[in-house]
Amino acid sequence: MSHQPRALRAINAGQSVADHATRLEGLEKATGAARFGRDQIKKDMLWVRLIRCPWGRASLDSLDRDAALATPGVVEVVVSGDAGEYHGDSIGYLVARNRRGLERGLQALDAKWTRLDCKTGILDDQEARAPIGDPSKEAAKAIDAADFSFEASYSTPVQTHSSLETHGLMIEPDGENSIVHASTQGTFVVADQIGRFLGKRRSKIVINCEHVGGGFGSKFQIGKEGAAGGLAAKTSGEAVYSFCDREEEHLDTGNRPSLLCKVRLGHDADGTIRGARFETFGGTGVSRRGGGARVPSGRFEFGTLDARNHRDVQFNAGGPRAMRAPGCPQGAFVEELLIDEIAHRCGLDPLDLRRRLDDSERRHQMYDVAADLIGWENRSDTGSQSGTMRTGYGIGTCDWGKGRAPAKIEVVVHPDGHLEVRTGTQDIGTGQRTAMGALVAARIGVPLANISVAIGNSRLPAGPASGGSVCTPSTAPAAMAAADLARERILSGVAEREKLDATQLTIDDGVIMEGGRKVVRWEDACRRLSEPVSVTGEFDGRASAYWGEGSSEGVQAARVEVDCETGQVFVRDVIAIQSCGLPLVRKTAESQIMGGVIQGTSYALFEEQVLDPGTGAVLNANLESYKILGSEDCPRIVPVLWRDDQTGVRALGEPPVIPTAAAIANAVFNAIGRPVRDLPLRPDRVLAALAEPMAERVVAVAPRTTDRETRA
Amino acid sequence: MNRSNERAISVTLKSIRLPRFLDHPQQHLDLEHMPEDSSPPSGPSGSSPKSDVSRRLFLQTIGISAATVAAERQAANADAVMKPGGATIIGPMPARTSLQVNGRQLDFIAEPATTLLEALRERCDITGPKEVCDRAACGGCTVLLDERPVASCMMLALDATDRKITTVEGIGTIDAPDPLQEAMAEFDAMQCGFCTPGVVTSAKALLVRNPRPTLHEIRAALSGNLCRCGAYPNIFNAVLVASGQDPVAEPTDRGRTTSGGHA
Repeated sequence: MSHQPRALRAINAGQSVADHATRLEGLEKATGAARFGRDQIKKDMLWVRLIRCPWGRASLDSLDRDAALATPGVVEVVVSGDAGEYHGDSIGYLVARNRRGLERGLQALDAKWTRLDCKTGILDDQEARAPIGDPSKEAAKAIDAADFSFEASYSTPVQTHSSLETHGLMIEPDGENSIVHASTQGTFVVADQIGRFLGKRRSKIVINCEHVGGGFGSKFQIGKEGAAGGLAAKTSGEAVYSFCDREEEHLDTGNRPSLLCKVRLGHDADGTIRGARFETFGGTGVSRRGGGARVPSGRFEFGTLDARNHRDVQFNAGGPRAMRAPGCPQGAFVEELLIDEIAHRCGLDPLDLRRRLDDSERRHQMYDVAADLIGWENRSDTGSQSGTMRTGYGIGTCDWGKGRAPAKIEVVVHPDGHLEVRTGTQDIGTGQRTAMGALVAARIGVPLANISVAIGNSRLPAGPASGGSVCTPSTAPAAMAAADLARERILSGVAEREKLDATQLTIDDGVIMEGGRKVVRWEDACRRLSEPVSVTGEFDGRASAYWGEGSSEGVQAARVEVDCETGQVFVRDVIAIQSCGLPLVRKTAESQIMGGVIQGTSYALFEEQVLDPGTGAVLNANLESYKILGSEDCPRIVPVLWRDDQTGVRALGEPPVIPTAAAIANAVFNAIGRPVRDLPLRPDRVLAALAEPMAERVVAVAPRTTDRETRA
Repeated sequence: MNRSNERAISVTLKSIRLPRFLDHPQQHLDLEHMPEDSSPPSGPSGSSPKSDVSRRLFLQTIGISAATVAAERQAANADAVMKPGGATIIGPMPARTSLQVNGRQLDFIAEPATTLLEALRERCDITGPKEVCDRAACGGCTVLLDERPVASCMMLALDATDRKITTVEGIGTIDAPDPLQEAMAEFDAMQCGFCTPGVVTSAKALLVRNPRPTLHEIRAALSGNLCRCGAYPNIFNAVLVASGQDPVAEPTDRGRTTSGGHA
């Protein structure tokens, strides 16, 4: 809007500590100057590539190691296995002087495999295919006592993280040390893990991850590619470059596991849910665990519950890793669509039913604002539209815990007034670097221009990995403590020299003041320092005066259009309201929310790893066939930072990805009058749903509004 | 069969979306006389040989079977050999290559099969363009060829020797950024930043040919650039503002129904 201040979303004005701060490394990234791990390319370095199984399950018949070793450029071939349990499983690795050497070496290796029978999904499991089991005695009693019973089954696909920078690391010798340039979301995790492969003590290893090209939960461990890289570096003593290619990234670096959820519940005519049984099956590939889903979430009242019925189902595919709010978007999809189905059966507005089942006061306020911003009053009754293009509105919700971890932040005050904020934790695009800089600047009272942030190096003060949305909540108290120490240090010097009371001094925009009187500029006060002064703030992961109050809750509303001839779903608008305690930097916080919505939209509409049932091969292990949301698919998103009077910094990374797919699925249900209970909401599924009878109503009600047809 | 043919088949197989494990041509290459890649010489090179093997020809014929393309290429080679004093055949030995990148001439020695992206990143230390999918599905490796955006992973370096190549580094630097790059930073049009060089390059190409694009045109121009973190709305705003236009309209308050949420 033209009257808005440049780059300010007026709706979020005043909500954050630093409304106008821009990402500190923004220009570095926009000019290509930012060097990621994958960019650490040396003329003389060894390249590593894993030897991988091409089928869902296969045994190795033969390979020609001598031929591979005789290939120009090939340095070493290490084969340590003779069978693969999934497409992408590794049996060894190849080391070469260059990229071509790797390619030719793998060709010359000429691995011959015998394909074996394999399982390719949750439905290969007999119990998963069976009808839902009997509820527990208590739940059965509650369900039977209800006016109506309802049964349905929901599923979600395997989603791959698809970080644009693939997993891997580059290791270079530096005297007796090794510098490891890693694409990781855990600087100190890599430092702990790589040593045993490198054959080096922790003190001789330096991790650098100044810039990381995406990490959504899969980059905590060094992975096989990292282990092979470490071994090659140990053996050769040379610089080693070991990164997955795009196909390997899809096959063997984790995923959000698939889910099958069966539900049986009893509800009354007014929508009250008396009792329910949930059965969940997580598709964990070859892993034995990691397939859990958070359903029901606890946000809604389900009466007497029989819900601890989870089983992980193994089959021949790569295993899961944590992915942005593990288990939550899939759980929310089931739960929120279920609630909308009940609302429809009872002739209720799904927002009204949510207000009844949800006891969070903050979310109740968010429901009102979300409804207002999305234009809920324009919503037609579910199934009341005809015509080709039908419009739907849907709601989804989220919450997140208050996890925390130990963290240290060092602030160095230089005699020229410059402040260096030092933290070893990583910025994977979350804005961690900017958040720390802006928080220290605001806390001391100097412009952000006075600050630089050193981040992403194991030689810097320790901090948490970027997981569980605990990083900023944990580093913020440490940063506040460090900033206060630095501030006190300078102010006490000024007070002493000027014979003033230090407690009466304030710092405003780089000027030290007493009441309304200017005492001295920050830079001039710092000039009195004979050397840089270092202070360290520490958060022990449990208690801190800086922890404060706050919680992460959210409501999202989506507006979609469904083309009922093609089955295509267009997500037009998403209102994303999110509380995260005290937001630090408005722009990067908005970016986090929008990123969650976009990944959630992508999950709702497009993403799905496809295994060939015959061979177990992954059929879409690249970005042209594993579709993620692109610019043409992107909805209009309104990120709303919801602060209230919260004082503590809370989780923001994960919660906004939770409600989006649920809200979109509900909007599609609203538009076409039939639920699509399987993600992604593919055109074929929408068309199949349209061929079904309209969703049942068990309570007769007069239509709230007249038929609103096709709104363009 | 030479390296270009090998690459052609390999890339064609990629383009018809077969899984990589089928990506092994049956033909065996004669590698006996292949030396390893050598380091680039310093200083200006001598005359830069011209490739007679057109990668562009290949790009135009995607969809034709690999065998057809290979046959055409062999024919082109054979043709060249027969012409006395005609075009030089490049390869299979590593060949001297010279590129004009960001206003500088860069000389190095590489196999003819080296893609433009590999040449930039691995030979010229220009790492702004990113290797993400290596098959033109994501736009991470976008560079300007003259003023046209291309996927540098899908082009041979040899086919770019007579072109003006501009990477994100050539569009602007931290000390002298392009207004588009400033707007990208101002609007937080990035998170991890791995797609950003490609996005900036595609957007720059758009602004050169269309100085005041509509939102619709911006979306279309960037449809080949994938961003996993989800920065699209801010990217659109950055491009709008860099072209002297207003960002996309936003609601200005939280509505009439509540007082909640205000600071």
